[in-house]
Amino acid sequence: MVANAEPPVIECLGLTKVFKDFWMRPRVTAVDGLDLVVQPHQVFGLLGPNGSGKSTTIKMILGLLFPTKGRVAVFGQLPSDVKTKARVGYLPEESYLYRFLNARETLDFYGRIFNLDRRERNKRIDMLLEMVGLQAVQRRPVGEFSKGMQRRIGLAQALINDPDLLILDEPTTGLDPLGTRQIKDLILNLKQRGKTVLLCSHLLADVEDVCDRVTILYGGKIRALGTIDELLRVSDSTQFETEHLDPALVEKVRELLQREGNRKIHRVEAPRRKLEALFLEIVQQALKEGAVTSGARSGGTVAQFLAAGTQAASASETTQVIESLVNAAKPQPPAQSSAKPAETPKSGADAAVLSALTAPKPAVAEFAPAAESKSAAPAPTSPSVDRSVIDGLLDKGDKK
Amino acid sequence: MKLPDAPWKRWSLTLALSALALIAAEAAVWLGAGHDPLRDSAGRTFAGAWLAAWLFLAGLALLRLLLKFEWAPLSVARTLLDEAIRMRLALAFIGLLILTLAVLPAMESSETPLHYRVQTFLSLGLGATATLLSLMTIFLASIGLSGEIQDQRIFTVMTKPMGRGAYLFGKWLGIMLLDGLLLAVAGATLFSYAFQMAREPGIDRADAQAVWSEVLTARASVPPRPAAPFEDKAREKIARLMRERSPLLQEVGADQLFEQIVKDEEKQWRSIEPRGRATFVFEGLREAKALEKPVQIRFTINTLPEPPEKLLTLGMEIKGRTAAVDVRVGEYKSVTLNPDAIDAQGRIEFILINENPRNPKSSFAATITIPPADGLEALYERGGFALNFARATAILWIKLGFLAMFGLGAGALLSFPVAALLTLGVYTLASASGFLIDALKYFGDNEKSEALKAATSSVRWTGMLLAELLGPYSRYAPGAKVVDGRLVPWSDVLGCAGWIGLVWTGLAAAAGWLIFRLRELARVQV
Repeated sequence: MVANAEPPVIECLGLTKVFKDFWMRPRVTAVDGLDLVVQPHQVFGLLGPNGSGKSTTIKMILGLLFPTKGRVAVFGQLPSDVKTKARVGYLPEESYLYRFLNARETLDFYGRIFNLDRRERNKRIDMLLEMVGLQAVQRRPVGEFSKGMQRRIGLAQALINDPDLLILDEPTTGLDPLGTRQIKDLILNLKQRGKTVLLCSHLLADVEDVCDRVTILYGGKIRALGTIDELLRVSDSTQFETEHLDPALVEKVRELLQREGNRKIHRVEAPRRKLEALFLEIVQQALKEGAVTSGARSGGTVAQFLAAGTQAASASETTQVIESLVNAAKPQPPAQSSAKPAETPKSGADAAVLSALTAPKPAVAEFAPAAESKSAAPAPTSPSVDRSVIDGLLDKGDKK
Repeated sequence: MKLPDAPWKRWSLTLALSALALIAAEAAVWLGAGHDPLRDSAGRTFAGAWLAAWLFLAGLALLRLLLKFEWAPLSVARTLLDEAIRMRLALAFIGLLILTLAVLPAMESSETPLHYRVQTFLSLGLGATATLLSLMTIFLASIGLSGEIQDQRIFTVMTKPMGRGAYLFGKWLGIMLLDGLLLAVAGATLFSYAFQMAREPGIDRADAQAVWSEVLTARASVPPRPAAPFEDKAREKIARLMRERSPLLQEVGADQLFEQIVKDEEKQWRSIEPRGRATFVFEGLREAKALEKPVQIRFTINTLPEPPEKLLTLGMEIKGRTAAVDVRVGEYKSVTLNPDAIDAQGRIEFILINENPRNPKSSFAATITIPPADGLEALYERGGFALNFARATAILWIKLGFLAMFGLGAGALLSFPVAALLTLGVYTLASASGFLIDALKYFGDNEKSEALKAATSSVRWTGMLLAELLGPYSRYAPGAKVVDGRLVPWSDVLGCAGWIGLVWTGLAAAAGWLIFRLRELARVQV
């Protein structure tokens, strides 16, 4: 595999963090001997109940906490290395922002820390504000924003440098379904561009929709690790989805299965749409009717500098220019970006077109490979995936 | 009313509205007082406050422009400026400072001699500026880092490509620029008010002249020395005692006796008995002679008992010519001499006579004493007030730089209230170190109990050690010099820059950086 030939983006070896009390006595082992490798171009999910060590792990990866034992490397360097930090974007679990700065000033502040020149900075700020739907309120102090709006500006700041590694800690907390959908699209988009995403979330459906690999933590230790398909496949049952069948035909299928394979059909029902899809359709309709809102507008398309290679043909030239500017502006061009060009989208030229998102769920066979189904369409795919592995573990954790 | 979005439109509108408000206020003064509002104290207060506020805003806009370059510490500094203004903390101090400086001239009574009024204004103005800016710096610095750690904004900032040292420097730079701007505004306000006051009529001609010759100037000071060194006299006395085989030498010891005699001689030199006289020699006045600058002999006296109304007439003799001078006990008297009074060697021999030369019989019969230090000195003009004032401001700025770095360093380790209290404690101790050294010298000497003596002794030595360590902070105090129209020499500025600016601030920066670097920003204590 190409991905494995490249050095890992994140590598944790025997990572341990023990929190101490005032007298420096060890009290809580938040992370316990964690071995974790995140390969380039992956969307990696970090799951676990509260207090399982997810945030502590992320903070050690970012250099905000120092390991008690073990080693952590990001792009092969220490997390505190300035050149390493130039390639990382981070959205914390809460948007810790300067309340007195407005949205535009906030992005300008972070852009200047990345040494982006004024022209490039302003271009990216415009695109990001458009993308997160805050262009209309860009002069309003961030302190006056709702929680969802703060999450949006927090996301924008995490993307200002077009990071090679994006670390998202509970990115959809406080966001409406529109924003949630947009973040998921963004993650998929970044993945298509060969970026790496580390996602930490409680919302299992979100993780399931976008992650290639998932690890589940409990008590600071890894309890499960693998691809979504590996973890979620239920190999002792089969599910069909087809056009509507009348009861007589269903009965014939039942008889056929009984006769040919001595198998029983346990459940026959009409599939339901997801609530998320319905919600998005309603909002889209309201937008078309020109309904007024004082809050964040629905976000625009993914910022061009983040969506290079996925835009419509008419935008391709602009995208190339932006891509070249992005690469030129980077302090240290990522090795994998040059080694592996952005993947060509398999379908759906514009991954963020809302109308596409609001369409009814596409009919995809459950047994289709998970990665394939995700790249085929940005909308949620699995109709009724068995989450027993994840839920079981989480339930276990909660009960304990 | 909805303000326009474009910043320049908002600023223009605010400027126009505030100018209209000023015109209205001045018109009210004109109609109420019936004379030129700019000659009326209330009218000047309004105009001064308006000008100072706009000077500050213009300076702030300029600073923000200068900090627009893409360099992380500049970005941090610019955000600190924005925070200081928009979060109202600094704005409260700035408003108070501008208001204080604008109101001070109006508080002086017109019956007070003009040069005293200008001195009082400068003294209070400089004092208020130094105190308010120090407090603002302490608060801004203490919350600058601890506040960001506390509310976790630091998570987002420190995961960006910026070292912790660069971040610390950016914060310090922001505070220094804000302090620099405020010092410039306060300095310009003080300076222009002082010059405007100086043009007012004094209570007499001498008073009006004294403003320019004793206050709004920069004078070098020359201390007096006796006609013959005290050490020579002490040696003579010791030699005599040795010849006489005095038992005193055995009892006290020659060295201690020598020191005691020198002290006694100096005391005696500064005391003049009724009808007695003392000679004081001022040397090193060649420059004044070459520049043809007049020389002022400035002195004060104490008597016991005091004469009626504390007024005394003394005689003074220079180059064989005697003159009478009226002196009020406890107050400073300045006598201006023509450069011709300086001889070819650059010396003035000044003889003070405890007798009224106009009417010797009416002389008040009491010994007069001249206090040490600045009880008697010769002064001559060495430079202009403007540059002197600028040097004093520079010293104040350097001292604020140390406070800023100390506060930031403290904030890297401690929470805001603790960091602020610690920095405030250091500032108070440093400012009062001169006084503390004097006060602690004899602290606990009268204790009879051995235990109490030991306790007070440890307090004394700890206090003395800290006060000595922080001593330079109070030694570089240019305010009093500016108020007295004395020269603040470049050596003071360089000394302050070296000691406080480089050594102290450098040490505070190194300690702060080390603490910040080793600190876990997302630390959880369980």
